[in-house]
Formats: sequence, structure tokens, C-alpha cells
Amino acid sequence: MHTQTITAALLGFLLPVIGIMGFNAWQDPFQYYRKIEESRFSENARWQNPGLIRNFDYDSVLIGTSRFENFKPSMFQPANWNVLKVTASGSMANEQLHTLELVLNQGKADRIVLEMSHVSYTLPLERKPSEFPDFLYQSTLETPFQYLLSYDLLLQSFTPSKREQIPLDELYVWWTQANDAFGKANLLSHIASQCDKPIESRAEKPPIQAYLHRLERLISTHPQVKFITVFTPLSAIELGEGPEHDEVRDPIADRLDFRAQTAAVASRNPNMILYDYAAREEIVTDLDRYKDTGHFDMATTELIAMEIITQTAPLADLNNVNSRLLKLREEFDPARFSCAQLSKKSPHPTAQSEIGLVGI
Amino acid sequence: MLFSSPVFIFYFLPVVLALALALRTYGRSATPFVCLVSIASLSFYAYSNPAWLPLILGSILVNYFLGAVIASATRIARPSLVIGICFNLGLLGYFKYADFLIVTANSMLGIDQATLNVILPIGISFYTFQQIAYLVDVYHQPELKRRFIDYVFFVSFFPQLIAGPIVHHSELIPQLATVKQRDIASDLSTGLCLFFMGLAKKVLIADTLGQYASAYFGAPTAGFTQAWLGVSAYSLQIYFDFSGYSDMALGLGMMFGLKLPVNFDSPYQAKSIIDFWRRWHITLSRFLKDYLYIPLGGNRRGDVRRFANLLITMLLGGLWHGAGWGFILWGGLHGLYLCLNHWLATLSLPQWLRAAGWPLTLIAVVFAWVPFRADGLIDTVFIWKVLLGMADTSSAVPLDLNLVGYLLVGWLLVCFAPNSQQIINYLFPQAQYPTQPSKLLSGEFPNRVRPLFAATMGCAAAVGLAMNNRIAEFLYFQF
Repeated sequence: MHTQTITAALLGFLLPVIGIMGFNAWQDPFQYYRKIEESRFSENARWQNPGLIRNFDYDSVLIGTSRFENFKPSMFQPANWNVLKVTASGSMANEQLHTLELVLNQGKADRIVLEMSHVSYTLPLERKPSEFPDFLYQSTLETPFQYLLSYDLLLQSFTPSKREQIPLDELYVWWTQANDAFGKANLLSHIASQCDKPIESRAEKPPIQAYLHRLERLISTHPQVKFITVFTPLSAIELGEGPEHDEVRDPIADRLDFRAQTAAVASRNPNMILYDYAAREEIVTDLDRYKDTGHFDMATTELIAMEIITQTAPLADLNNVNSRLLKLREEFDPARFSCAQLSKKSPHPTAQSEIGLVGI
Repeated sequence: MLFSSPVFIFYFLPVVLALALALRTYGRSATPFVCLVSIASLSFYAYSNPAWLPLILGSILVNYFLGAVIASATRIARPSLVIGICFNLGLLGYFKYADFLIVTANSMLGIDQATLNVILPIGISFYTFQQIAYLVDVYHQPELKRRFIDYVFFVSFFPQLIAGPIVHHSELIPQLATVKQRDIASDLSTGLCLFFMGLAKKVLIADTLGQYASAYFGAPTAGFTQAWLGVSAYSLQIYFDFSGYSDMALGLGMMFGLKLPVNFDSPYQAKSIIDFWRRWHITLSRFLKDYLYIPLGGNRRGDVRRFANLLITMLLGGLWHGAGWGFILWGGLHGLYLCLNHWLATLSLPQWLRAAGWPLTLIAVVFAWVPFRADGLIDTVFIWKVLLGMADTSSAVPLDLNLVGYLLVGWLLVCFAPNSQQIINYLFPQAQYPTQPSKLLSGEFPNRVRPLFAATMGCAAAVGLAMNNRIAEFLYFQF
């Protein structure tokens, strides 16, 4: 009798486990264990990128946030770079470093193009495992159970047709969905719409140094890999004063700190190059290029890609990393676009900027 | 390493259990079994953070040594007991309360002392209390049998190491003498059913309700109904989570041939607060009563002193749960409830009021969970006001029918269904866990029920694990 009970308990537990894991392994919707499809992908970058990194061919990798998502691998084709883009919108430094570690562990990449965003490095946000599955980036004994023993994954395994039919070159590109959202009017409208939102209290010192230390360790231990790091071009309006509030850190101070520390890392590592589009005047002051203060248009994306492969992008070093930005700030006078000024011009900001921004 | 984690279920448990069963079957004595399980338990502990291993080993060594001195029954026995208690409380105080005290002092005295950023070692509250109880027990019973390896086993036995139950030396160690004679098949079938039942309670019910509770307590709203639903969700979450974990501990103990004390006995069916504390976290209540309330004088020195002792005991009991004012408030509230209950017990109340004991107790308990879970005292007061209908309810949002359904099932289960021990006692009469038999479970049952129940629990646990591994679509609108 007891033997029957033990058998029943074990079978009752193991059969669903084996069934779910087996079917999920066979379908493998995020292609984590093997490359299954060349042109059908999920838009869930955080879950899909580890499989792309492990199972696809590349010699160059693009890592960054939504600002990097409009880069297409084909833009780097003139230089014969075989690029894999593993960006993730809203990704924090911790997520990007996990991605970078996985890329480097595969040993396939000769160069990494890495977005250096002060926002990613100054917000110590923790994501839930459901949002950022770090077990796919740092494989352990538990990984097969955490990935495959999942009801949500089972649903995806049953509905492969729900994954988008996208060529790899177009993966994560959002430009086409937001084409109409760019331009100075949209940008100002977006800023105005943000004015009423409460300011997030952030009194603690951001963990910039810890993240950059982790990045530098990866750079210095992989001297054969070239790290092309890029300060992306935020609109010059982002250079405005931080809010006058005791409990909120000044974002400009954090940004300058981040830039200086990044330049110091670059100065110590010959295999790292630092390009600075954040201080490129003709881009950051041309507000028509933006849909909000941080997201630039496709023409700017193409320009950056071209200058990276032709090595004509603006270099940043310890001497110029903050001086150019501060000079730009002085000349541009971002205070013109403060909430107080905008409300004088338009007491009822439109919500136009909310259109077409989902997922970006 | 949690009992619901893959590394525990699919790697640690099968390997350690297989080896332990082999030693139970083929070992010449229980000693190899005790050594194996002790080493496995310490590995289990070190898996979370290897740096904590020296801490528990040091604590074991010091307490075992002091126990030996106390057992010598010489003049230094009593000072050694005092030293032992101070050592354990000091350890707990440093790791659990140092930063809390610094933060409190900073805010009260207006100073700016830096915190120590001490990381709380997992399970320290449990194994510290267990060892304090051991020292006191040895003081009163110097003849208590104590081999070093048995003592290591007693403190580190992994099913009870990180979340209880808080076990007495006399409950566990004597069982080692008979562990080889026990029926392994019976232990395994009972233990597996109990383990899977606990796992299903944790991953299928508690974790699901936890999402709703977190959503409400993360951003409490002024809606009266939402507040009651959110607080109800947490009340059920904490019960299913903790009692599920205790079931898993009891089931694991049974798989290894050892019967651990029951920790929950349908507490939400309690007819008074006194009754509630006989059913909720029973081994902690027993510890607080035997090692704090009674030494303080208990009820032997008049009502005023008795109520003061109750309040002190419950305040410290609250503080034991965590270093925060919310826990202290929760403990204090239960202390007041207990005082009120003891005072009411001396009056001759009308029958209808006595009959209202169960719903009143339930409401009082649910009300008290608010400071236990809320993010700070401001949120606590706000939620209490909303629960009492004293806050603006204009922001009420539509009812989440899924949540209402989960809550309905949950409350029906905790208020009317038999509890895990009652089910196990019914299916496996040899288990004999100390609990009242359920009125719903009586008479003979067909033999096929047992495997069917076991398979259902196994399946529920597996499905619960699969439901817990979520995939979130990341939506981002700013970046």
C-alpha cells in the first residue's frame, strides 16, 4: 500500500514536470538551447537575447537600451561586421553587464559596441526574475528548471505563430512605429506632459563606480576584444538644471560624474574607445531629431553607425569629456525649456507625445 | 536554498534522501545516518551564503561547550547558563537588531551614526532560540543525553533549520535511537504527501495571493473594498506560506524518519485570541511561554503583573519576527488582545457574545496583520482608517473577480476544511500528529484514496512550480 502511495506521489509530481519541460525543450520558444528559426522572433528581448548570444553567429555585438534598438546589423555590413544586436529597452547597467558577460563567455565576439547611458548606470533598479531572467545569462544547475518548467513558456510553446515574423535585421527596431512622433513640437509636448508627474525621490548616491568597476574588469580581462563605447546623443534640453529639491540628487551632477569615470576607464584600457555623441552640438541641439529628450531619429542612428565603422566618430577623453558638454549647456540655455517656461507658452499641453510610444 | 527551489527539489533532496535511506537500511547504527544528514544540513545552510557557515558552527560549538559545563551541575552551571543566553541574544541582537537600533537612535536623538549594513544570516532567529531552549533544558535536566554529533544534528537538521518549527532537544534526539527500526515505506509515503501538500500550498496558493497582497500594500488605495481584499489576501498568503513551509518541514522530517512538532492547527478557526495562539506558530508560542512568560512570573503574581507579562512577551515576540516598528506594533496589538481576552474570560458573557468569538477573533487577527505587512507606520494607520471606513473611499476601483474567487476558496479552506495534519492522520493513522480529528474526516476510506490523494498533491505541486516561473513582457514608456 505504501509503495503504491509513494509511486503515485512521485508519478503525480514527475509526469507533469517531465511533460511541461519536455514540450518546452522541444519548442524552445526563445531558442535558448538551439537555433530553430532564422526569421521568427519574440519581442521579449530580455528572454530572447541569451539564446541569440549562445546560438547565432556573429563577430560583433551591440548592447544597449531602446536608444540602440534602431541600429540594424546591416548598417555595419560595409565594414564586413557580422553584428548581433542584443539590446533591451529600459535596460539597467546590471542587465547590460549580464549580457556582456554572456557574450564574452561565448568567445565569438571580436568587438562590442556598448551604449553608455548615464540613466542605466545611475538608477539601481532591480528587476524581478520574470522581467529579467538572470538564470539565462548565468547558467546554473537550476536554469533548465527555471526556464523550462514554466506555464507561461508552455503557452508560448503552444502558440509559435504568435511570435513575430521578423528578419533578424529588423528585430527590436521601433522606428517604423514611432515615425510620426519625432520633431520639436512633439518633443516639447512630451516634456510638458511630464511636468505634472511627481519627481522620484533619489537621495542615495548612485552605484556608478561599482558598475563601472565590473565593466572595467571585463574589458581588461578580454584584451583581444575591442570595446566601442558610445555616449548617445540626448537632446540638449536634458542639460537643464536638476530639480531644486533637497531629497533628489541633481541628475546633471550624476551625469558628469558618470562621464568622467567612464573616460577614466577608457584611458586605462587600450582596447576601449569612447565616442561622445552627447556633446555633438549639431545633433543634440537640433530638436527635430527627437521624439522625447532621449530618443533620436533614424537619420541620427544611421549617422552614428556610419561614423563608428569609418572611425570618424567624436572621441571623448579625460580632457574633454565634460568641458564640451558644459560649454554646450551654457550656449544652449536649456532653461528655456523648463516646465515653468513651457507652461507660460502653453497652459494646456497636448498629449500628442503619448501616441505611438508603446514599448519604447 | 528554499524548499520550493529547483536546486532543493531536483538535486539536494533526491541525493541526500537516497543516501540517508541507504544508511538507514544498511548502516550498523544510526551514527552514519546522523553524520550524513548533519553534513548535508550544513551544506544546505552554506549554499545560501558560505560566509554564514562559520557563524552557525561557532554558535553550535559555544553552546555545546556551555551545555556541557551546565550539565556538570557545579557552581558555575548557573553563570554559564547566563553567559549562554547572553551569547545567543548578543549574536541575534547584533545580526538582527544593530542597524535597527542605530536608525532608531538617529531619528530619536537627531544624530547621524552610520549603519553597520549587517546582513541577517538566514535561520539565525530559529537556531538561536532552539539553542537557548537547549541550555535552559540542560540546566533543569543535567542528565539530558548529548553526543556532539547528535547536537550538531539537532541544531542543523535542514528541514527545521531556516523556518522552524523550533524543536526541543528532547523531541528530536531520542528519535535517533529508533530511526533504523522505523518502517521506511510508511515514512516515505507520509512524508511525500505532506511535503507535496505543503509545496502546493506555498507555490499554488500563497504565491498567487502574494501578488495581489504586494500590489495592494505597495500602493494602498482609499477604497474600502480594495483594502479588505488586499488585507485578506495577505492574511491568507501568510497562513498558506508559513503553514505550507511547516508542512514541507514536517514532511521532510518524516521522509528522514523523524517526526517534527506541529506548527499550525487551523489557526483561523480559533474561537478566541488565546485559542489562536495555541494554533498559530505553535512552537514559537510554546517557546515564548516556557522561556519568557513563565520566567517573568506568568500569571502567578496577580492580574496586573500577568497582563504586563503578556504584553512584554508579545512585544518581544513581535520584535523576534523582524527589526521594525511594524512587528513591534503587531506584537503589542496581540498582547492587548490577549489581555482583553483573559479579562473577558473572567466575566460571565451572554451566549451570543461567546458565539461571536470566532468571527471577532478572525477580524482582530486580520486587522493586526496590517502593521506586519505595511511599508511603515504611516501606511499602517492609513490602511486601518480605510478598513474602518474612516478614509475617503472615492477612489474605489472595479472589483478584481479573480481575486474575489481566490479569496473565497482560500477562506473556505482555512475556515472549514481539515488541516494538513488532520488529513495525514486520517490517511496515515500511524502518523498520529497531535491535532483534533476533523469532523469532515471520519470512518473508513477506500484504500485507493491514498494513492489518488498522493498523486493529486504531487501534481498540484508540479503545476504550482510551473505557474510560479513567470515570463513578464517588459513594457517601457520613457527610455
